[in-house]
Amino acid sequence: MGLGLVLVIGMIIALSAALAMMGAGCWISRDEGATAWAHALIGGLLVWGLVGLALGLMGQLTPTAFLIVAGMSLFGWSRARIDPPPWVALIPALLLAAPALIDATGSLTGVDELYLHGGLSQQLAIHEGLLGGVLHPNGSRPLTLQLVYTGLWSTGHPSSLSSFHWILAVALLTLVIQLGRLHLGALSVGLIAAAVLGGSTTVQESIGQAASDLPTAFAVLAAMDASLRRNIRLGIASAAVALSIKYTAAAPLVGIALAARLPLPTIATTAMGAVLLISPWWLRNALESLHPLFPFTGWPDPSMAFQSIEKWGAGRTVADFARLPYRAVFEADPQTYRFHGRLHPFMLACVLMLPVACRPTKWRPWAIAGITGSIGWAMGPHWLRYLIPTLPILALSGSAIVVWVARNRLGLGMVWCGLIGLAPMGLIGTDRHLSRELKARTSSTDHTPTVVEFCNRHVPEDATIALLFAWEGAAIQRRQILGSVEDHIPSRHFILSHPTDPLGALRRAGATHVLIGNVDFRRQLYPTIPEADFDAEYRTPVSAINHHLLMGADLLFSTATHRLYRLPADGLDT
Amino acid sequence: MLFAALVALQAFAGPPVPIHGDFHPCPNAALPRLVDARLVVCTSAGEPTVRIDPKTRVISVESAPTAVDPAGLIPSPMLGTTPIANDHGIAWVSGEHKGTRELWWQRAGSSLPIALDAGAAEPNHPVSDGRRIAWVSAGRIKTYDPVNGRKTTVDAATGFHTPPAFHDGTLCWETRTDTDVDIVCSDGVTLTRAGHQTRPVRIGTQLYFFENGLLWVWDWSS
Repeated sequence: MGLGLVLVIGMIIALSAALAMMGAGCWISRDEGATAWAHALIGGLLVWGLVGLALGLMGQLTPTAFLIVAGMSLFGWSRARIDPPPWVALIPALLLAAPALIDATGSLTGVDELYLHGGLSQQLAIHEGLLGGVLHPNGSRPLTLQLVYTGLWSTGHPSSLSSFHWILAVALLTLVIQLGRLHLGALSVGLIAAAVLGGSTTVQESIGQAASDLPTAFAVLAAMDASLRRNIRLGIASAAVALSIKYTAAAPLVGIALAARLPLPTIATTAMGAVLLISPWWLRNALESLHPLFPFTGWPDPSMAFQSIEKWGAGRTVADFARLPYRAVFEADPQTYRFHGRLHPFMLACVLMLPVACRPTKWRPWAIAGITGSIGWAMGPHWLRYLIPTLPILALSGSAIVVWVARNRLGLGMVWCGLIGLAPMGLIGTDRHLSRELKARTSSTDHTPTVVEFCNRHVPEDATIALLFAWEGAAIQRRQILGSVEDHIPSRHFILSHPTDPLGALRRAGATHVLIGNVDFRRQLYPTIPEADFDAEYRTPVSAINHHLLMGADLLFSTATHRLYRLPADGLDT
Repeated sequence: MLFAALVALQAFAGPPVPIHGDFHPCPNAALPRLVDARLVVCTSAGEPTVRIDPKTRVISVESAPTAVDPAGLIPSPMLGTTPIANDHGIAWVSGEHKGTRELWWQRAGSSLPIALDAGAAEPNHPVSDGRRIAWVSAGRIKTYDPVNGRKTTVDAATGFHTPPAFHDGTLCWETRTDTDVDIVCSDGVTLTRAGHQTRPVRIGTQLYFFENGLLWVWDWSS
């Protein structure tokens, strides 16, 4: 391990502590109980997100500014009276997350890491300010976690993002174990729930990557804790952080609000507080003439939806929904996009036991939040990682019932045997993923795609590359526009918005080069879209831009998967 | 006069016909080209392992042609470019960090390369007909004869996309009209059709090109 990596890891741990301290200083009063450490971390993320927003608006997202914020965060110590997470929860969490360190300390390789978490952070760091709109749609999301990632990007080590995320994942697993003991009566409840999560490919792979699902789950679980303890202030912060990291938190948060059985004015106050804390992000979009929830509400003129949800999952008839829990567990394959992941088989038992858990008072809030979160997920595209914000709640409620049923040591021993025995089913694909990462770490061969290498070596440093149908964002060390979201909507929308002169429009948008992926939209993946619409929205943009590039741009480099063009300086198109 | 000859030529020639097979335009701009008297094209995976005999049109899949070893070339060839060798030496393109290019020539048996073209001309796509080399320079085509050191410029306006075809001293290149891409040769042969005709390879009275993802051949000897 090089000295540089040691320094970076040290910095990440210091940053995590600084976040907690900042949260403690700003948000935590002296006596918040055993989970104060988690709420301090949530508070730190919230404050850093809002400070980052202000810095971004001022064009000051610089390494120096981040260093100053980190330094100021340390003043949180002066007020903090926080017990660290208990070892009995932390050590199992560390053990469960340990395999993912192979991935977390390596380079960013996941698609989401490249185009979103790393890619956006890189662009924010290059521009030293916020980005957004149709040219940078990912930048129009709430960026609470992204702005912390942006600060980490400034270290020059992209793996610092995934390493920091790994720490947040450990925090989640620790909180799962701790809440099992605090709210569901037994340490074994939390341990079983954490083991189920750690025994799922969807969670295990996510732990090692720079992502947003597990941090969202952490904030949702903190909101659950705050709700059960009737702490409105902490509930507001947790809900706001969860939603400002990922809107998929909305469904379990609604469930938590319903389960809390708080007076209506209290629920309204909590909701308004959370909305108030997220509203700066919405206001920013509105000021840029975008829908406050852009890009999730789709693209305007021509109107395009954010996601074709019918494209994924196992169908949307009543019978399909009835079979969904079984299919999502047993038919899911991390190698396909149907569910895009894999869960431990125990998770099916957790879901099936939810109606049982609705009766006892102690389990009811968990069951209601789990059911609501699951219904919200089923309404979406059925990708299992979108269920991650609800998974800890599902795992804890299921584990509580199992521990109650098992009752004695023999029963618990049998449960553990079952969990461990079934783990290989839940971890399908994880061994392949980790061995690939390990091989990449130990190999002396440079696996950088040659088109990326060409961009970084031969494209002028002041160039701006338009990424069309390409996800490689973080790997390319140049200013970028467009990039990909879902079905390459930014590229398709831009081309369809400028049908007669897309190259001129790209030029006017600041692009000097175009990196285009050789995309082929497969008709069978879009069965519900009429043929004419498919032609107009999917095939036409690809053939149109290929025609214009052939006629009016210089082909600098091509591989079997990508082509790089230079745009004419005068922006003229044929 | 030239126009009349051309019209006469095209009047007697049969129309281009597609060569059907499981092959595709290569990602490497230096292909397709002639190697050992056979045309090398690519598989759907971009591997240059498909060979077509221009006389019999027999298609076979073999190993990729041996590339020039760039190890001893200084400055080193630019990523994505293909050095071209003939009996007289090697030509290659080197690239700088800011995207500028130079074309280098190293005579066989010599260790000292000379720069043939550089600067704003952005030399690219060197090809050889066995004796001379040709390359794209500022969108036009230049040639160099290493035997007598003579350089010529063809006012081709071919752009930057693909190398010219070069066979027995005859050059063919892509040319862009208002609506599409066609092919023009230095001996007056032109190929003008609807759609884009790209990546020409000239072999005597045969002109190979890609159109709409298919490899076509126009043989006006028949």
